[in-house]
Amino acid sequence: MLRRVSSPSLPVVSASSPPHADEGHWLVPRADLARYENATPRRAGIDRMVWAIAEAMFCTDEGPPDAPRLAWLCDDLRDFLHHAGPRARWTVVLALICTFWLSPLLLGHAPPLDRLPPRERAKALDGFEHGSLLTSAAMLAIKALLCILYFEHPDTAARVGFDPRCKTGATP
Amino acid sequence: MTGRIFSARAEKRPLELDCDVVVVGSGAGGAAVACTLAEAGQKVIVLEEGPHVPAEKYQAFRPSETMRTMWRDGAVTAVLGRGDTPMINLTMGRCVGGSSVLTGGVCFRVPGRVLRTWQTERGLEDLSEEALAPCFEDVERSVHVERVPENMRSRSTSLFALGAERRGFHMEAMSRNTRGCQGCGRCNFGCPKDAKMSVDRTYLPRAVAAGALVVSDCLVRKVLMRGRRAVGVVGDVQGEVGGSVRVRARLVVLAAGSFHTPGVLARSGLGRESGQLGRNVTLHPGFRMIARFREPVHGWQGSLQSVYSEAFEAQGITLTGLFVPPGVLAATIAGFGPEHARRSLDLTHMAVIGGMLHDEGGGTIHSPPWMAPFMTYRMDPRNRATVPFFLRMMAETFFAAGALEVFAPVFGAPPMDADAFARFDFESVPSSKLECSSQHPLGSCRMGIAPGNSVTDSYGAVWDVDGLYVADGSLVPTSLGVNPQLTIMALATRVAWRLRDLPAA
Repeated sequence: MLRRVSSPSLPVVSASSPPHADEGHWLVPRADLARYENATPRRAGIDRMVWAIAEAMFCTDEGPPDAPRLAWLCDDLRDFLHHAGPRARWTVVLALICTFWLSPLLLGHAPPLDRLPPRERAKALDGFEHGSLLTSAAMLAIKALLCILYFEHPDTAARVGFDPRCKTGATP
Repeated sequence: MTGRIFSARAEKRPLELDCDVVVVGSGAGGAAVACTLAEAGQKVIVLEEGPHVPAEKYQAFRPSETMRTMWRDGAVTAVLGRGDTPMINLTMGRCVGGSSVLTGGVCFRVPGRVLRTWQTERGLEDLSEEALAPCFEDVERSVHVERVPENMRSRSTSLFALGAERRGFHMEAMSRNTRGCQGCGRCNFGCPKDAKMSVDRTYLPRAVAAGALVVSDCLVRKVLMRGRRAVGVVGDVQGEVGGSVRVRARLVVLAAGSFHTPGVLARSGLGRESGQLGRNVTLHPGFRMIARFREPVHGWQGSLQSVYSEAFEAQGITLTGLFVPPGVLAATIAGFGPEHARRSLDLTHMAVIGGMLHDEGGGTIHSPPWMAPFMTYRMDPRNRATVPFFLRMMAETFFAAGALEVFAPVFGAPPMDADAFARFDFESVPSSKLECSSQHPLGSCRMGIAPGNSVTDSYGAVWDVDGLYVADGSLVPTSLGVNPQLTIMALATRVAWRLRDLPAA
């Protein structure tokens, strides 16, 4: 039996084996997502910033991602920062704060970011990405981390046609 | 002593241990030393800062779970660029097995031209190809180095190789430490099939079988001294509860990697006489190019790295095939919202190539006592001047293979078709806009022939200290221009053989 890695929010390794047999090890097991079915928007702390940025970043022509997926993303990011250590925590939280409070100013809007509708937010983030070294670095850190996590969601993977199999046809 | 791996966190009281040899760090260098000396009958203790994640656990991790658990700082470590230098994302392992668990498995011996530089410019005449050959042979047997067969290449790599042929250069098959690779394309997150022969699957189990203790979650702070002799180390248990560790030993081997070994020496007041401690660090600054093809590529299906080319060695460039997870690909697409979402539908059509610069040593590790080490780096102007050529060459090779557009490693740059790319002025892109990464910090305690310009001798012995050795990538005196894990293991093996044969041992 595998031991569970201590985490306040997300089981890193499930107790039963094989843990990711259905989607391969690239993706979150669907069983871990069941508890988010009735999730509601989060409006406080880091979650508020992540929610606002992710809603804009991953907004499609059909609109922003649904609440369960964003709630899972918030939890997974917090789990990431919990495990990754203080330097990662400070770097990412600082980048989130800068982006959340400063990016609307580039469009001439008052902060914070979640006062804007998602498509306007996307423009603000775009401005931040094209800005100075510091704003692009902050945006890069957040974009990279959120994309890495978000594309491990099985629905996102399915949307882009990601087929998590090895060259030999085996599931990882 | 019965060998085992255990966490220092599990101990209720301060850990006090005695042994013949204490090895600080369990990565490529430390594991090779521990194995060699344990099998020679010495009582060995290995101290590792990171956690012990058994293979059956990391095999089930998603990439981001590996990043948060086994990579240093969740892979967000940044090297601060000085002058006309990009900020560089530096990724390193922090777990039992170190970066060896998280490499693509690429294995190269030190190129002959580099060894000749060591001999002629650094005076290291005992480091010839012939002298090092037994070390490399021993390591290659231990970690099972084999050539990647052509049928394990990913479509991403095959497309670049096709472009290379059309442009008149050839991609060679590379060697890796694998056995039974199934081409899952995610070696750098821990092999899910137990096929990569990283040190946690090779050297460390052998060391433990021979009686070595491997203690995880233990950060070594200082070397204990008695007069001019190293007699052990002290460290802290990692985690919220904390605690201390003290190990007394006849010999101390530092193998904490180029990033941390200089810090241990600096905090101990050792190795500073030459003024070279923590300096001369080379990184192999890396750049990638992503290309979109009309056909599906599914670039993660195949060996993560399978080919290389030294066709541009004159310009200081080594090309290596690679791939990155879909989320990383998505992060390289400029823009946000619906436009980004539409473009991400093409992720399965994207191919990736990477390469690294054979750089001059412009890096410095800073190890202030009140915080974790950090690094600054000044890119040599000749290396910096090569970057536009480097990026053009990779993109034009993809276009020669039929790519529709490329995603250059320039922050915020839109995808470019061949015409737009030809018009793009790479020379005027400021360094602050370049996306650059590194996995190979080397040389922070470089070896040499005299205390005036080096930290150790060619066997890793720290000058003017008895019983203290370095056996990791920080020994490497110049950039290698190729992936370093095999070199690190070979140099560490050479150090270990020396220690094994010392009269006192």
